[in-house]
Amino acid sequence: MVERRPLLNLATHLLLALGLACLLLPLWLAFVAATQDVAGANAVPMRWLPGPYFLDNIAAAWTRADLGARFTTSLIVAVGVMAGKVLLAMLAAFAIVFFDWRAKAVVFWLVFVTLMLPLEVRIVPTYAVAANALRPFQAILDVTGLTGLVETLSGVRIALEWRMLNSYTGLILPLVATATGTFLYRQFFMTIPEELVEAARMDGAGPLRFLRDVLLPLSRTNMAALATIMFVYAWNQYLWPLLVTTEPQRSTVMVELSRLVPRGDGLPEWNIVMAAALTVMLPPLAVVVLMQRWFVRGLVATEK
Amino acid sequence: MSNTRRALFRSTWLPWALVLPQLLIIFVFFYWPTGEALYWAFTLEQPWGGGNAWVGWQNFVSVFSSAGYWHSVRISILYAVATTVLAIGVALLLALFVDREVKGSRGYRLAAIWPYAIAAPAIGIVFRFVFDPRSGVFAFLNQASPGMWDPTLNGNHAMTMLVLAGAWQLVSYNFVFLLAGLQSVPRALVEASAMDGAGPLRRMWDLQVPLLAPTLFFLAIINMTDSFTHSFALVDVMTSGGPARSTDLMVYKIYSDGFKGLDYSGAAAQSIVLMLLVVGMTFLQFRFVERKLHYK
Amino acid sequence: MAAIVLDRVSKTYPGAARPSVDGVSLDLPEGAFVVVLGPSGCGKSTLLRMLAGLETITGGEARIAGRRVNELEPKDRGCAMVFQNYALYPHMSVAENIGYPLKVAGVPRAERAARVRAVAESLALSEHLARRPAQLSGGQRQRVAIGRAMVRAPRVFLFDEPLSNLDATLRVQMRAELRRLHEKLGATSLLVTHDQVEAMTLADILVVMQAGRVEQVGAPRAVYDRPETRFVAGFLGSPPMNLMPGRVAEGGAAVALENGPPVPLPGRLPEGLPVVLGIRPEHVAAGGPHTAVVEMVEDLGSGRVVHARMQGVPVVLHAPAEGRMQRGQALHLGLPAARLHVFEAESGRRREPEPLPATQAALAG
Repeated sequence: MVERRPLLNLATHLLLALGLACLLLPLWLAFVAATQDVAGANAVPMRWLPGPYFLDNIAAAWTRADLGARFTTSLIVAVGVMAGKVLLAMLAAFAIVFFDWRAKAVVFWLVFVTLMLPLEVRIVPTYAVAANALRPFQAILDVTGLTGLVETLSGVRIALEWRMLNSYTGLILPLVATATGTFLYRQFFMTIPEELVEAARMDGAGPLRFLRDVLLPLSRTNMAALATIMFVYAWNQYLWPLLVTTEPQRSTVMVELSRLVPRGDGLPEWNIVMAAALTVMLPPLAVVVLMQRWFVRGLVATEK
Repeated sequence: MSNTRRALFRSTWLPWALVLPQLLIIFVFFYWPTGEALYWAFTLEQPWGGGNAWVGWQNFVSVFSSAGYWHSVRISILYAVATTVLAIGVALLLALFVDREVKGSRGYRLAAIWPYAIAAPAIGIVFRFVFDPRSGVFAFLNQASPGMWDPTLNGNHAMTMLVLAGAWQLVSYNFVFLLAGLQSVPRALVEASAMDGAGPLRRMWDLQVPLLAPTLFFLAIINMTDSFTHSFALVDVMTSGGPARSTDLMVYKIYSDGFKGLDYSGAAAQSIVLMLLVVGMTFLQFRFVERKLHYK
Repeated sequence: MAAIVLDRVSKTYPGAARPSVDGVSLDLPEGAFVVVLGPSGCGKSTLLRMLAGLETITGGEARIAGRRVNELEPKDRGCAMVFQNYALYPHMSVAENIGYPLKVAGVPRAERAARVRAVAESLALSEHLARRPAQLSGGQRQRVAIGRAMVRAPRVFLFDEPLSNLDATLRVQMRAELRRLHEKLGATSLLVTHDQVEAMTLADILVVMQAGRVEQVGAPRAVYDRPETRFVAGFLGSPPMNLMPGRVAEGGAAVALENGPPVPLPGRLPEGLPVVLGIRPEHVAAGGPHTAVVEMVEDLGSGRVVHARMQGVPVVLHAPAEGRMQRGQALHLGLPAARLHVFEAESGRRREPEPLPATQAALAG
């Protein structure tokens, strides 16, 4: 379309530049602080240009917060959650879309309703479950009287226990259920023409074979999109790791980062805290920048 | 869910096996805890052991009759509305102008998406530094006159800081959706209105913003829900609910009453209230899905 | 031996008031090219899919090569199917698409490659083996779909409207190719279509379906020349047969139409019987006792189709390419007795007039 508006174009640039400067300003200030010594970071008025201490501060943050070990933990958790979500979402959506199955509407709703139960609203009891993941089953046995029955019959008292606190299982498992991912896959699977399923059946492929040979390769882009979002999601988790890891040497980078800032009135060493904050932001940022295309697609698709 | 597919596989056990992992996790970590929250909300633990006693609505009554709770509700709503308006406003402006596709708009676009990747605790700490009364951008004000800017002592300042950080976090998400919405406006429509003599700014206001209405509505709901639930990390690293409970949002109050105050029943009752709020919002969001179809 | 036997096969979908396929019985010989023709929604596709094993049979029995197949999985029935929109796997190359049934069946790689090559050769696809379906033309995709069906050397080929997604020229080419392949492979083919030209040109045996039931089975020529029901008469042929309501009169020797002179029959029918008289456009004779007025003329190049009104009843007839023929022109038309089809008005069944005694026949002649 021919439209020459040099003035408006200039205004557009100015507005976008200004808007983004505001958006990115906090990050710039954090970076500047991370390049100062303690005095520089606390200087009034604030410094706007970087100083020479960036690597020193990163090194200090790295050792002080034991970031090497924390990064490993966070990486295992993020990859574990990501892989788990992608896999569970695919399997569940496959069952819901491609099977002639009475219960599928019920299962779909059971998964759907979890959208309305964010961790924040069921936090105390979820913690209790993480302390013993078999607690629900124990409770069912107790209430139905089976525990008592077995005890009188065999003399053995059933005490199911699976402590998940301070473990990778505890950090990962509660986060891998995914309504969003299941929807994304369901949405995609419903666009597969049904003749393709029929052709596969005529060719002699059973359901699992169809999943492996046809659906899996076809859903690669969806998988990449979902994986990107879920990695960012998992890496950035805070509340759950905070609760589940009671021992500092088990925690994730996010929890450790928050511990760098003193709770009381003491003045934090902002230069080191900012260096740590920037380091911790890096992995998800890298993922988003490198996978921008899939990331945007996934973000938009999960809400349809 | 209307599913008219004919070509389906048949098996009595396989679909169950496929959904079993997901169902087990959902049961153990979603439904059971929710059930337990309900149970705790209507019972009270006896001080000398002996399990929980049924107390009916008493926990809710004591929650609702506490001034501290209503304060928390008020500031949560304030926080949610302020964050949402700010985040959507900024994102809309950015999206409208990035959509003009001037030179370099790809770069602008990428820069506007970045913040989504940044974790709440990390950005919370950054904002805490930026607004620190002794070393932040406004520290010079305090040199001139102590106390002009101090989020550690002044509740309003603390809330302002929290809202800015919260909105900052949501801008990218909103931007992605609004830009996608703008790009799905049929090109012919834009061209038609250009033929009608409407300039770019006029087109934004008369054509693009009205067509974005469903997306804006949807984002408003999502942002509000997010502000009610996911604000925990920001509050925890930035203010811990202070000063003097001035940023004690509902989520944070559940956490502190439950884990710090060990008042499980009170925390459970508050959880139920927050849950109902989320359920209500989600239903609103689904009304949106129906409406969205109108434009297509 | 019969390749396919259908014995009162029915399909009623759950919750449906009427069956979609209603007691269809067919006996199809080995090696035949069978075309099932009918308007959309007549149950022809459902019939095909039941045979393939994609739909369950809710009544009756289907046998392929003497074996009951009702409960068999699609892959165990010895059928291969070509779908209307080809249903190629978009992420696989042509070679992988064709070879997929063999891969599932666990055929070793080397043998698989050889068989895929042979099939591709016979379909002129050898140069495209490495391509993806999206890189192929419509006709090539169609051939890949056929190749995927051929590679298993099935006993029965099932085609579900295979040509309807092609453009007109390609459709004619692929039609010929289908017929050629059928002759070469010697398997039994069952093709479903709503296109009567396709049906007429391809079929050894034509099955016309309507509302879930079989209306008529026979050689295409026989079905065209002697439609058993009024539906078949009106459905087959383009432009369709003229159908005019009337009543047997003149002692059973003629049919009185609404207006105009009675139409003599080649035999006798019960006096007063309400009937529908049919005559194909190409059989309406120029010159005769009936008067008509031309309403519209369609020039087809090789000839003309004339829409006229004969004593108030619409009539379509063929006219040569040359000569005067224009709107408003008056015509004299004849309805030759030997070319007439008579259907009972009530049941729609064909009613053959009783032959006249020899003497009268001589007189009438």
